[in-house]
Amino acid sequence: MSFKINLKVNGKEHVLEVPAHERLVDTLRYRLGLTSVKEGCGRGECGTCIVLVNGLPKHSCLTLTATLDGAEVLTLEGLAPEGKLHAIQLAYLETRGVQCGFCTPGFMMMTKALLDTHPEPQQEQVKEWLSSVLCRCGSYHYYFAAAKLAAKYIKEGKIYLDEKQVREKYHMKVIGR
Amino acid sequence: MSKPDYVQIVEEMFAKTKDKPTKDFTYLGKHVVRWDAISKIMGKPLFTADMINLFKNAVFVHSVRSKYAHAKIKKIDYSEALKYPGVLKVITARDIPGINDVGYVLPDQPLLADRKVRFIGDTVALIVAESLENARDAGELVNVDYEPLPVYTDVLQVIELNGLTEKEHVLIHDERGSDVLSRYKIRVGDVEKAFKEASVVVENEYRTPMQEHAYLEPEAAIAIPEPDGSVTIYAKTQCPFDTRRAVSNVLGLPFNMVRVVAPALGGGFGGAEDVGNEIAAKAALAALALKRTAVVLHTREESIIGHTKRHPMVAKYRHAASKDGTLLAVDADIVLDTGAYASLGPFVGWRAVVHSTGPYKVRNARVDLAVVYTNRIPAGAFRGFGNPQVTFAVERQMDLLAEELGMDPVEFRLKNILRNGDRTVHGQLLDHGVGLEDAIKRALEISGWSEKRKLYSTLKGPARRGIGIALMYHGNSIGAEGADFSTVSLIIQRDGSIIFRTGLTDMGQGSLQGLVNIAAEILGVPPSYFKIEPSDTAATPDAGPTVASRSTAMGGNATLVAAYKIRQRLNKLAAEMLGCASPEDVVIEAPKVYCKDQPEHHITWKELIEQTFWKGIPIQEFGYYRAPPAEWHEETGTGQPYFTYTFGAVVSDVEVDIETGLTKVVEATVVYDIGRVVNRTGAEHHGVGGYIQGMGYALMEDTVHSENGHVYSTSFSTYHIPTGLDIPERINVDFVEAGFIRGPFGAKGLGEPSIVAIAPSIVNAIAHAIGSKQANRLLNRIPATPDFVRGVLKRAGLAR
Amino acid sequence: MYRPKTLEDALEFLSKNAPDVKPLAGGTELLVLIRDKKITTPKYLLDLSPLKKQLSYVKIEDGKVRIGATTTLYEISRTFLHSDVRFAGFVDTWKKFGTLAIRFSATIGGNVVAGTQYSDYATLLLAYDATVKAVSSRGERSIPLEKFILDKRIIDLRPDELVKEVEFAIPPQGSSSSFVKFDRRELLIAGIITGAFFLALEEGKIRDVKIAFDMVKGKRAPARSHEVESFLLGKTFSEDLIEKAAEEVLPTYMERITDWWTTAEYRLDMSKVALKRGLLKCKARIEKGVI
Repeated sequence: MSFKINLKVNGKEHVLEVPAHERLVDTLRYRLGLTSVKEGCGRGECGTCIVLVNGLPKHSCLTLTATLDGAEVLTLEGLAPEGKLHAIQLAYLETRGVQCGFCTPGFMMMTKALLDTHPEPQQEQVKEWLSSVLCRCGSYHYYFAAAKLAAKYIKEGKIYLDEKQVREKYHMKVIGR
Repeated sequence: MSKPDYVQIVEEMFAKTKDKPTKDFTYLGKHVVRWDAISKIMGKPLFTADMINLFKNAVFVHSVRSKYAHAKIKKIDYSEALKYPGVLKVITARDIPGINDVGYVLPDQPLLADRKVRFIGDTVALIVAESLENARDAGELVNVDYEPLPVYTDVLQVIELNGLTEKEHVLIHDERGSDVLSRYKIRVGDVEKAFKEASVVVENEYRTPMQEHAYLEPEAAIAIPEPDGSVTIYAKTQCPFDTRRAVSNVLGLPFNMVRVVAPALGGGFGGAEDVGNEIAAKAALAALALKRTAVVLHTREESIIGHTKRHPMVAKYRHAASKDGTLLAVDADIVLDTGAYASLGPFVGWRAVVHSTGPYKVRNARVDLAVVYTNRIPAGAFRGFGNPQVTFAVERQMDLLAEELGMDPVEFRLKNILRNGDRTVHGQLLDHGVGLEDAIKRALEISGWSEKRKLYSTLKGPARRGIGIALMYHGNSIGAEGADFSTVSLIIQRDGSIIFRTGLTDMGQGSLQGLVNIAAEILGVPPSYFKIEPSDTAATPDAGPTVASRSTAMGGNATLVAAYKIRQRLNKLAAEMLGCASPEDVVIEAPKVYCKDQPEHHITWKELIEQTFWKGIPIQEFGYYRAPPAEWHEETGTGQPYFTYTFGAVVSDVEVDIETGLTKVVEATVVYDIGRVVNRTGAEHHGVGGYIQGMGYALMEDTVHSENGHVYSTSFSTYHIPTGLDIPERINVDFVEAGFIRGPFGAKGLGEPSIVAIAPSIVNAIAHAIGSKQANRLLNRIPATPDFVRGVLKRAGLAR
Repeated sequence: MYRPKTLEDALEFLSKNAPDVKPLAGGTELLVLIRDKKITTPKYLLDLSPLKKQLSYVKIEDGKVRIGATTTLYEISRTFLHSDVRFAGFVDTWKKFGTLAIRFSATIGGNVVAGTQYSDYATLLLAYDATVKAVSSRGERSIPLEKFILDKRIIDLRPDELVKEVEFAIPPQGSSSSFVKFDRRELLIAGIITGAFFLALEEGKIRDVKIAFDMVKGKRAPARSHEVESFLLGKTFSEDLIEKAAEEVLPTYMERITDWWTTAEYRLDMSKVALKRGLLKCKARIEKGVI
């Protein structure tokens, strides 16, 4: 049995015909090609599949797409408009935490949800929210710092940055001695 | 015989720069934004599973795994599975065109079990279907007639710890005639005499767990059949060249008909060695059989059951010391559990025995080590590779000895550590570049050791604090394990941009950025001129495996050699173009190129490169470097096992809840002598990440098997790795740069060393927090879980 | 999957298709059970998300705290249950439940229906002596939570019934609660043991006390420890009293198991520690008036 649903993903409307058992992670990855959404465990533990549904974090591996008729989904791909980078992304870049990068999208989506609800988060809140995602390379400290830096940028009104300029300024550039 | 040119080049560069502080380099030792950082913050890199979208009409391959941990296979009946909707083919051992073996260092591991199964993850058949779901469902219909055999999940069921004699049992590897895979020993000096003369002897037994890599990306492989009968494979593998060899064997094809590309990897830590070979071979078998693109995709549960782990250790150590605190002798029996198959077990065992006496001056030693099969998940490579296990035992012994002697653990260690001019237990002369003492001193200073050590001893109440130290050394690269070489290709394009490629992989650690930093420093061009291409067996020469902390040292040297050779040619040409007095006077600060005394008169990098085109000067190089040969005498355990060692000191500051036994690390300090910092961001990541992974090893991680060989911990809620709320408030990272003559600008490796001494530093800190002599001896096992620590407190009479 | 338009619609679907239908709320338990093949894949899933507006609430009504079944843990955290000291145990439980991201999906109804040792909110609600309201097309039924969870994954809910809400009496002033859970690490844990404690004091005397653990003697699911409660009730609160309750009374009525994770002995010891710490925490909260 399949369901016809309306789903707004990263601002774009989709009409999808999905089987009842299809998980959101598969819809996003394999139907819509949004592969920033990762599947690390399939059971709501690792957090790499977290996306925002109607503004709140959700494990896309534990969500059946058919239950989302009329919902809005945000993935890392939709964090900033085309050609732009979001302050969260810049903060993650500048704090130098990215290693294998498999967990990073999950962390950034949790950061987004955190800052949407707590624009000036305390360190304890940052830790609590971001600890929804596991990182085996051990970048937690860096990511916590990134969330706080992102909050600062957003407060200063630096929400979107030109991707090209960011590339010119940062790509393989020395950013600290 | 004169030295090969690449050795001369590396040594020349070292000699020229050894006194230059790292801060004075342009790119070396700086925080350079890694090449893939921007794509990663955009979620763009394609990990293997992300590429499935790119292939239409792919088939999916599911591994039907064993129901028993040890059994004979009498019959496999898959007729029902074949009838299941969407199933295209079922592949068993009989369908393998080449050799049915994926053993890493010796042929003991069938890709598809035929005669018997030896652990719960053994694959008996592959289901190839139109969808993964159908393949999995059909897998349930494969009927295997097993004759169960006794299951051994404790290594001491197979071998006696005292004397390491094999016990009577039903052989797991009957074809080998013994389940002792390999034995190593050290025989140095007169151990008996030393023990007789000793004033202090400390003896204890140690156990370490089977740690799981728990990289966040589960394994995946995609195999594409090519028109010429060859196959191209994208797979999660750390070592594409080893994967190619394994796949070629299974398919019965020459190497050049198998192409392996390693896309972005979501972590490896050693775990993506063997399993990369297996998944690639499975996908390739299906792809060639069906003439369609074939996908293997593991779930987390399958990943945990299906890839190798860290070898658990059981060891008995005896140390002797004189009254003044001089270490006199080490006597040890060590058993490593390699699980069902050898994987890299023989090499892990060898590295363990080499490091089995720690970074100390030891003149008398008897060590026997056996690597033994059981019916657990195979153990293979994991960051540290045998060293974390023995270092746990050795560094606990050091604290016990210090306590017996009434000495401070640091004072005792300082009396015995290796320094310049000392010989290792193997008789290897360390004539330079031993930065251990400096590392210790810096770690003490940063951590506030002295004050805390005193203060914490006075604390009472249920929450106790403790501070502990552990030291380590770790031989770089693969040493006497095999041919130790690496290669890179550096191709300057006509527009001045540069392609950098190597068969070494990035599994997330980012060490390739270090190589680019080296090339950039030598060529005088910014790192941003470079493009790093993925590791691809068809596009680069064999670079050896990406293991053993060898990327920066070995790959770095190959890079240095390639860049140096190109730079020599560019200097000559530029000197001609600019009229410099000597090629040596050419300064390249791309985009500017000028003579050193005439900076205002310059040409551009592009102009210089354009001229090489017209003048026919080659601006591409395959850099090659081969390590000096290692030397190992089997009978005595002496020689030159590794060409150099990374040294380190780790201090952990913990809080122990005396009522629950729960330990939390509050702060940590790690200081490593890595010769020279090449890639500062990457080095710090190892310092921090290695600590966190080591903390998991120390406090919470173990892959637990039931008596019949089933695995309990197959998810992240049952296999605990540290979360963001478990990590210490702060991890201080610092480096000593003692300089290694045969490293690129003096650099040594850090990937593996960064985990080696974490667990003992934490357990030593727990012992300090508890402050009881009896408890100190009982803290002989990791993970030091709350129940274990509480049990120690009870047995020591410190809790009810 | 069936997406009902109203509660009545849902109940009708249930009554027609039971037992081949499983209600799906947050999915954090059910979908994992299906993945692990611990239950057979149900023929139908009844998607409760369309009923969210109707069944998600935390309110005070007729002297009772009522929590709608599909209320997520996150939604609960935004209510007075996280600011009034009388409900402090809700904050403790929140902090140790799964990871924060899971708490946006997991529901109170799901927790109660799961009926396992890790249904932390069920354990907590036992300490409030909560009642489960189940509805079906045949009508409504109130079941004390204690009788609702019969044993591990065995609950008193008929296949055609749906949990609509849980409710409990508003605790008096001078009361508070706590929840104790720990394991090798901070998050994503089952808990070596878990314990929920409710305490009401009046001039130093224990006016009311309710104690629930993830399991007790004879029941491998969250349950009350009545014997310890009756030992404490009416007595003057003191550390000695708590100590005695933990060391002498509790062990008689607590049965723990040894499994691959840890031993019964350790679990029993930790039950004692939890009892002591949990009650002391309640007391401190009552005295200070803050969570």
